[in-house]
Amino acid sequence: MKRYVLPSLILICVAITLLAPAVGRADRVIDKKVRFAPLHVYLDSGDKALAAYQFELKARPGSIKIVGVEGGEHPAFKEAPYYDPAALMNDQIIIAAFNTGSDLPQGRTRIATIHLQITGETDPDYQLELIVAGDAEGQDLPAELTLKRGASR
Amino acid sequence: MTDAKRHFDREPDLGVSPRFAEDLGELFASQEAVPDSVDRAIAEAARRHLRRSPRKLRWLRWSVPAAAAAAILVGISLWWFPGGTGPRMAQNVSPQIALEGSSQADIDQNGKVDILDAFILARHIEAKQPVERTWDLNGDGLVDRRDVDAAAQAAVRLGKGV
Repeated sequence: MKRYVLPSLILICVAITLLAPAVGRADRVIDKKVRFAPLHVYLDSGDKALAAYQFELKARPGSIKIVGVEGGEHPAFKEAPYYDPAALMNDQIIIAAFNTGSDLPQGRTRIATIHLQITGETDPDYQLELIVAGDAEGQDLPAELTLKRGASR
Repeated sequence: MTDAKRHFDREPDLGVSPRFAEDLGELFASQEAVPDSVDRAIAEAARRHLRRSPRKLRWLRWSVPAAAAAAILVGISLWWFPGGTGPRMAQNVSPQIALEGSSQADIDQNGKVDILDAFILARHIEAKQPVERTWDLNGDGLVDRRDVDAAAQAAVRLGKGV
């Protein structure tokens, strides 16, 4: 029995030496690399009233996960927009909304906020594409889509 | 001293016959000495017997190195896969209403399904304008707000190649 004690002690020491820094480093890596941040999407329709919009957001695969979507700042688009639930926990989403009322936003307005889980130290490169924007008559509307990164947590 | 007590004063006759003494000597005589080789053999056999540990002890003996080896393996796996593997939502799973085809939701017939199709359908319904039967996207026999939602869901569906 005595002859197994020494090898066992050596093995335990080696295991502790290997495990202690690895576990600590794993925790630190997770803490550093995953954060949550909102992404505010703005649409500028100029002097025309905005009645409908649809856009697509993509990011490099693995860099983000979409965790939530909320509506815009104007009452016409305050409700949560349409999106495919399959986009949640994914890195790609198509978002759309419309309003048939008469109180519609003009100029630059925040149309949606997308909540993201970001993996990695650097900010992902987002690809934002306006699919369509429409006026109150349902006609295509020239508009500019921009995004603003919110503070990450 | 009386005669009755006189015989106690006499020394008992402890003498034995030579023949009896010889028999006793043979009976209790010390046996022949055990050879050293026999002593050593017995001692070695005893040591071997005592050295053999029970099965439980054998398991105990190997459990410590086995646990250490398992710990090393866990450490290596943590080292290589620090992020772990959490549950991941299934892709392409959507509760949206199944449409017979995306073209059915192309209300304005411009060759693509987008939010303007839902918008136009909504305006038709709100204005109580005549609607086409093909706009019954969910197949419930009515053209109403649920068909508007179905058209909007078709517009935002991932992987439809808008």
